[in-house]
Amino acid sequence: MKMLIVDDEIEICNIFYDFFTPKGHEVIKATSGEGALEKVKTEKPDLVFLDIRMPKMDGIEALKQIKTIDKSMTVIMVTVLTDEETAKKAIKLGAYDYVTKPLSFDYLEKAALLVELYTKK
Amino acid sequence: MKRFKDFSIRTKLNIAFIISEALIGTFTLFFTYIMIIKGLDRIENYYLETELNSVKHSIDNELEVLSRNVKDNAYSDDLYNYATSRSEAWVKLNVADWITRNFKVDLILILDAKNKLIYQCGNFEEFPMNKDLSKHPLIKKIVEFPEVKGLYFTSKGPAYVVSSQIVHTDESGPRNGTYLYGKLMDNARLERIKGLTGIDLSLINKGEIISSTIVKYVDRPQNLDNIYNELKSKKFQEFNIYKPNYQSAFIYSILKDIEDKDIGMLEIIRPRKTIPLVTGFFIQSSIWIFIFAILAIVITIFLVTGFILRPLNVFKKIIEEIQKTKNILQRVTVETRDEIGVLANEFNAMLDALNKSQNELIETQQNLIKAEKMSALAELAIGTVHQINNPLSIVMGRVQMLQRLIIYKTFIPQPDLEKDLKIMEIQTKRAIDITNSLLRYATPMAFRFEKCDINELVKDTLSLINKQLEEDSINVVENLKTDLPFVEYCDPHQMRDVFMNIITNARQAMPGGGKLEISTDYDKKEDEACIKFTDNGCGIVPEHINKLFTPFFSTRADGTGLGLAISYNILKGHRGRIEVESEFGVGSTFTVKLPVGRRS
Repeated sequence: MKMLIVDDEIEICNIFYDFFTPKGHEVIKATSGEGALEKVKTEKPDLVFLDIRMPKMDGIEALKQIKTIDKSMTVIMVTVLTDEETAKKAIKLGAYDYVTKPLSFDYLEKAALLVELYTKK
Repeated sequence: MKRFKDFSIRTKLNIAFIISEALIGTFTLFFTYIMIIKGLDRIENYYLETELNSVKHSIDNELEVLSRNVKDNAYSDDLYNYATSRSEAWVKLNVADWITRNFKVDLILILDAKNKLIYQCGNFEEFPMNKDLSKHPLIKKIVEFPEVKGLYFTSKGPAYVVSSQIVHTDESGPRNGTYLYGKLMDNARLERIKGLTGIDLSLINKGEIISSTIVKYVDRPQNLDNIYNELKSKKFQEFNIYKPNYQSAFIYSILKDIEDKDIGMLEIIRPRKTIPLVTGFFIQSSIWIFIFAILAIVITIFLVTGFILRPLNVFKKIIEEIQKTKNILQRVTVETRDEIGVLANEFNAMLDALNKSQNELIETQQNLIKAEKMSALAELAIGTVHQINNPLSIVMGRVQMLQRLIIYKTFIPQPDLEKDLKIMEIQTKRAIDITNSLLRYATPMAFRFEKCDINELVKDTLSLINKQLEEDSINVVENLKTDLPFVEYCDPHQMRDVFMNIITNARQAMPGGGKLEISTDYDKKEDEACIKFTDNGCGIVPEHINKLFTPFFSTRADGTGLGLAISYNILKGHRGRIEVESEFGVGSTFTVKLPVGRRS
């Protein structure tokens, strides 16, 4: 499965990369909303992990844009606990789910599995 | 020029009262004057009338005296006998001269029963001795009546004429005859009347003055003929009064002769001394009345305005005090119950309302401050969470990954393990940095002030970061003022941090390289050292400028957002300030201003 990790903190992206690559997933990294949109267009990932708090274009704006590019794109929002309200708003805008930092790898595993099953059907 | 509305109430009232007093006073005095003048005029008329009567009475008296004398002569026939028996010269020498001398008689006539003139002495009327005189108007008149007294207009002017019939019988039978005395009303006669009455008078005939006691020029009415005609036409009026000016007054009355014919006018002249005298006195007293009235008004207004102004001054004092002390708990105490008292009560009520609303305002303000503090605290907490969350997430991620590998007993190559540990170290250090910065921001700063050369500080800071700047191909231009005064109170370490922070920000704003200009200057007027950092980097969007100094505001993912907040606090501790000018896409200028001497 091809997944896109969007976070302005490159080390967060690296964790995703280091976690999912050994499991056979292709992981693409983007460190800004603008970069994410570019990657969505060119790479057409199956799953996007999108950080909400980013300078310039934030996650919510990026989500809206992604949804205009591909309505069926599965987007999981990444956020801190205090951002939960925003995350819920993101779900209304069409996000698949949200995950809070610090990251739970159990959740990431399950989410990847679910999405894989969902997209294969 | 001061306008009327700018004057004080006292002056305004004074002006208003003085104007009204002047109007009323002038009006009253004017009418009083007119009344007095009219009254004097009437009194004058009365005097003129009385004087006319006195003169007429004098004339009558003179006639009476003459009449008595002529009658005496008529009863004793001596004169008649002498006139018939003796020569004319003898009669004149022994009798007629005596009469003329004693009675100032100008004419003596003796007629016999047949009205034949038997004796004439005097010269004002020529009676021819041989002619029948019964046709002569005067003779005609006197022979008709036993006695006649009156005036007669002769060829020489008006004259007194008195006559008496001689009723005497002797042996030759009853013989009737007539005596007549004539006396010219010449200046001497008039002077005599003046001597008796003290009145100046003249006789006028056909517009001409025949005789007068006034020798000097008198400004009489112009046309005496008109007056004469007027008097004649007014049958019931005996006299006419003329006052052509304020020097003399004139009264005219017609004189009738023994035949009841008009022979001219009697004129009485009265000097008018009273009116100019009264006018002068009146003007003098009016001036005094005015002065006293104005004084009275000024005093009255002074007292009245005192009553009004005293409470107003109390008012003014309280308002001034409120302005000065800002204490609105004071109240105006005005005891009067007039408009000012009402105003004071209203004013106090307004102060009450003001006090109430001020208290409410203070309460609201305090609530707001509380809320603001809470929200600032909350924001600080949120900021901290966000900042610390990222490194912690990274560390946690790495730890979890390693745990999983250990659980599944997967082989971890040495370099991977080293890499993970390195990442964890970096991120943990980053979290510690953040908490340290926060601590530094939150705890009161301890400054170690010393006298500092700002130029040296700038150079020190640059030497620390020069390498990085060079790497980022940033060209540094130093424009340092040579004789910049030392800053008296400056913590060199903290100030270096401020400069470092600004330079680092500039560096991050120019990722592709650029130019950083650092200049120092001295503002003599403000006694400040100015350190200016100008870059040509990306600039700051206007909506971010206000947030620059709030903690945790950062546009970079790895920025703590505390750098400028701490710099701000450091400068506050130095009684200095930091200013920002920026244009998005063009560049930014940060200016640090430090007081050179310590400010009180």
